[in-house]
Amino acid sequence: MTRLQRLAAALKPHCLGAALALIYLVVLVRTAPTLGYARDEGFYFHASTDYARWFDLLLHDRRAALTRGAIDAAWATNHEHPALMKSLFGLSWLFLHEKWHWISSEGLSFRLPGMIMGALGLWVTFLFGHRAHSTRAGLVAAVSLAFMPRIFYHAHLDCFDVPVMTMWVVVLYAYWRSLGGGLGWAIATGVAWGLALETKHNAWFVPFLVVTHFVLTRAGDLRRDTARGNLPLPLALVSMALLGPVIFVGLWPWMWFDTLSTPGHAPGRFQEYAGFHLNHAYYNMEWMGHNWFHPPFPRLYSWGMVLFTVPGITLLLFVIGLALMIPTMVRESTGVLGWLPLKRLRAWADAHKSDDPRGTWMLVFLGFMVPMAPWLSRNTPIFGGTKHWFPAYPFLALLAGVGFARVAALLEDLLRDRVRRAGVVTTALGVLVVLPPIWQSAHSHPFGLSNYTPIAGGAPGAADRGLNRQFWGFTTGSLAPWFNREAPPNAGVYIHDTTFEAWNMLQRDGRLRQDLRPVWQVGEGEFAIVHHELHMNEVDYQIWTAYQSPSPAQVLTYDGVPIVSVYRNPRGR
Amino acid sequence: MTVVLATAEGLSSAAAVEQSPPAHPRWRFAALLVPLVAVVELLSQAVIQARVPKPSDWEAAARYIRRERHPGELVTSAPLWTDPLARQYFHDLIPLADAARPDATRYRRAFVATLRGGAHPDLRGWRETAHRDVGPITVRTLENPSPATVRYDLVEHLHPPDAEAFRAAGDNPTPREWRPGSFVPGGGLGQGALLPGSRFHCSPEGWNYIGLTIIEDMEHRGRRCIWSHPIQGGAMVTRFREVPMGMVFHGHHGIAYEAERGDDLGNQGGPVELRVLVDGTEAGRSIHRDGEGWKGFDIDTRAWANTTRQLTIEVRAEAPGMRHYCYEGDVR
Repeated sequence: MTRLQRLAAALKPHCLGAALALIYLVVLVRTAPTLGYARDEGFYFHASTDYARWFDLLLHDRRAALTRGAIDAAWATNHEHPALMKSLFGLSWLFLHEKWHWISSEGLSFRLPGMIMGALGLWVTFLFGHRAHSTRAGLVAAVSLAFMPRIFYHAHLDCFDVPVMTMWVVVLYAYWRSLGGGLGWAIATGVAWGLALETKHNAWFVPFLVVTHFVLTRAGDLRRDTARGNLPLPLALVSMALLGPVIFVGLWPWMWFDTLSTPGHAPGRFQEYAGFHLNHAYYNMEWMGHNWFHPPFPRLYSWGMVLFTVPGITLLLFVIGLALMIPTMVRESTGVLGWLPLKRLRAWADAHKSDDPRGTWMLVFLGFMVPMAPWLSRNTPIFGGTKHWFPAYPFLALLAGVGFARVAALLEDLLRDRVRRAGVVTTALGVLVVLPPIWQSAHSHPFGLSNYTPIAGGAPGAADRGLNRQFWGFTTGSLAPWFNREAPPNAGVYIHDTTFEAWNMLQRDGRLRQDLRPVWQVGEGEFAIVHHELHMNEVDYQIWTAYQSPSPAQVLTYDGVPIVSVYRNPRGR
Repeated sequence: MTVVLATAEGLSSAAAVEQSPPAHPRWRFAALLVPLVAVVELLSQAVIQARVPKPSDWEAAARYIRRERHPGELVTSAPLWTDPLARQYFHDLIPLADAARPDATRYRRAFVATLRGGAHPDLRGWRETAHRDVGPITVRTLENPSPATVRYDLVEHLHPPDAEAFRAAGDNPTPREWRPGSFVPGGGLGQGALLPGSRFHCSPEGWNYIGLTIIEDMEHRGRRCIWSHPIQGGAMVTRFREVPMGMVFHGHHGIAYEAERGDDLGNQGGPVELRVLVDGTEAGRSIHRDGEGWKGFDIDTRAWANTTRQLTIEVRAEAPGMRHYCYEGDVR
């Protein structure tokens, strides 16, 4: 093989991964204009704009920008979350919308970096699957991940949940590559983890995963080396320890001052950040007809939501893949058995030791389990729905890819006499297993959080079961055409769970009439809306009290299930 | 079944497959399950979408109900999550009193727009006398086996001159001023029941009044009732002047959801007592404790049946903090 051929072979999977990512990005961009803006997006519009103005100052007057006053003024906004994504959202807005006018929609300019991160997540998931197993496994994994309806919704947003999912898979991919030797991937792991920390706080769990994986798969080596007085550590872990905190603080100007303590010896900004997440308020979440707002939370919530929101075919392939890989995972972890004082067990472990020194499938399994693990505790808040365990999904998808590859091989074998052309059966099966997720995602839009798979009976089945209908108030965006048509000039609208920033962005994007005013009291305007979530029923009754009428003028539905009710104030114009 | 895995640099798909051991024939057939599940999932999705009622189905259901219904009969829908749609399409058939009803015992007949075989909890034990399919909607006509005749509903008479209100702290109850037609301020999550436009005003404190509002009960349903937040060291009193007495005083009471469910640490509030007096004589009482939700009670009034009396409701609590208390009642 010539050098050029080797290069082409090396680039081929990247070309495939990049193509997947690009197609996904185009789909996200094309579908974004019908998706309303979520509460948290509104907060990040605000924060990102402040950060972008600081970057602009940095470009024009570095000395002024680097003063504590300028930094605190810009970076105090939303300082409970790290800065990477908000910086990217802001820079995208500043350059692509404000300065260069490449993107006319202001909302899209904020959202674009999040979409790119979602696309990047597919690329890396594909690469992982391709290198760890097969191209077909990687392809099915990436497409299955892309079209989990909840991922599809969140991938549109200027939020952190899909970006941090991507960063998890990037960190674990780099770590996995680093186990093959070489300094480059180890450094890349450290850098990636630093960026992951800078993306969202759930990245703090990654070291637990890496250490657990290393201990499980290298237990034999550990035992031997510690007996010799050495403590072997993976280079990647050292790199993470050295680079992670540096990048975390370095990219977050808010952390540049009073990092660990104030001059008065009070707890510093890092403790404030940690404290916010360790003592986070419990919000409301419906599950099985009950509104859960404080612990103990239902033990089956996370698993149930996976069951009801990840397409059934993906779950089936995941179960097959997991079952296939369990023997491999056991063989990858046999070193642990060597720690036990049982000679026969140690002998068995030695005989069955995996020939994969990287413990690939134990890593994939931990990649799935560790992000799910916080919900094994009944004290972990459940208000985020599925988004808080998104980092598990690329690994769920990878195991689904393995399941697919095996099933395809079996069917090729079964149909060998009937279908002679190689690859036809695999291709047909591939299309068939990604069709349900693609259909469900397409149909879920723009009601991604209201969507449930056929396992739950779809949105109506979920309503029967008492599953959460939505959160964040983004579905107001779907009412924009109705308001544009029905509202009198300068009408006031009580916008309930929608933030002012989200409403305002609809107007700045030209989706909603400029003259419509958000109002903050139910009785104040010409219209009032209520987003249907169980614990928000009280707002419905507030409207009934204020308007003395229970009759909505319009009910926005998804698959026949009420999402938002609009009331017309009888005392209005 | 063992799959040989890629090691350092991965294997091509073909290599991975080639290195898999030959599968037992039964596994090859079992693999057919996967495309079958995919097809079933696609079909299920299609069925779910096809069974969604269209606006024309709801409009046809409304036309049918308008034709069949007699005044005073209940119109509703099942399961409960369809309620906003029923209120939209049957807007002229569901007045506020019906939408936020205390229960359904007073109705003789109900028309229930039913989806997916849902049942309405208010109508358990009612007999189905007719049904009409309109697309995926079935309009069921249900008959109440023992409808009650309401002689006097406190909620409908909470205004002067029928009613008066007092704040009783000490020996002299202080009459409260009736303020009609004010702007209804506030609104939003966590604000609970709103101050009604017309009410007996007790103090500038937003919670301190007697008036008709709608609370969210522990089942998250709206209940139209008389707000009567208890006060420290006294009672909130509502007096109805000329009440045609019947055999029983039938009522409910509850505390608005966020106050009754307690805070994030599970702290709840104390009990609230409601006393019913007829011409100053106690007829009965009911105590509401957190966790009881929208609680029904019946008080025997046979001793005053078929006479016209003054009916007084007293509400008190030893620990009145966060007691967003509300009651309703009727004479039957």
